[in-house]
Amino acid sequence: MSGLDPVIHPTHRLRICAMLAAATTVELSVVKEHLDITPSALSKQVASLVDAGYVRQERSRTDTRRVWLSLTRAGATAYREHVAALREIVALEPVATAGLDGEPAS
Amino acid sequence: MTSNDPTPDAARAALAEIDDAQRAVRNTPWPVWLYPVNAVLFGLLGLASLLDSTSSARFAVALVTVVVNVTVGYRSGVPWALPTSRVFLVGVFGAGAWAVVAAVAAQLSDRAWPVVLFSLAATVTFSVGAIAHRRATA
Repeated sequence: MSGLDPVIHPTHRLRICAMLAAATTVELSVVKEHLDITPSALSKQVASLVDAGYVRQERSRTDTRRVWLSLTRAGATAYREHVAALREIVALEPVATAGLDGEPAS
Repeated sequence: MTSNDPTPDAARAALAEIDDAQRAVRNTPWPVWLYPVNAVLFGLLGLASLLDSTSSARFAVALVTVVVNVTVGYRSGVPWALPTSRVFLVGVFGAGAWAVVAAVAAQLSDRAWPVVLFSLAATVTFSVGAIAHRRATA
């Protein structure tokens, strides 16, 4: 499936991208709270997305302890295509099931 | 589909993860005090039409409403998240509509009571949505 993105696909990264797509800008502590993983594990996941150019990471100007995450334009596009590809796989399932029931799937 | 692609079950599970993550972040709880403050601000938005014929009072109340909510949003870590509760969203848009109706009533009539009535409707409409939001996020 062409739209599937190997950077986004792992569950934690997918959830991070989903949160950022839904809320535009999310503080890192909120992401951590909803992912239920260790800070170092979260840092690695976020770093992978930042390195791929999919996520922007910025420190708050007024409080440097707070880190804000948002999707870049490339990240938003990759996420949208990834979700579309997942939906396509799910949508194709009845055809495959029908093939198993006797009708050959083309 | 290639052999490396997820199965339909795995894809469905991934979509469920997405839905769950987005609901969690969009339904971040609000501080309780914000509900009555917003309800009063929506009422004031309508009543501001009685203060002067220009829109400066309404603009000031609208600005305060935006600043208060965005500030609270930043403190919560999700300044731009739109809650999932449809009742809440209808409540917000309904309250805004009542405030506009109050402003129109102030221009069309010399009487104050229609403006007060529509402003009260704005407060009540937002409050109904607020209760739904609180129940969805608490």
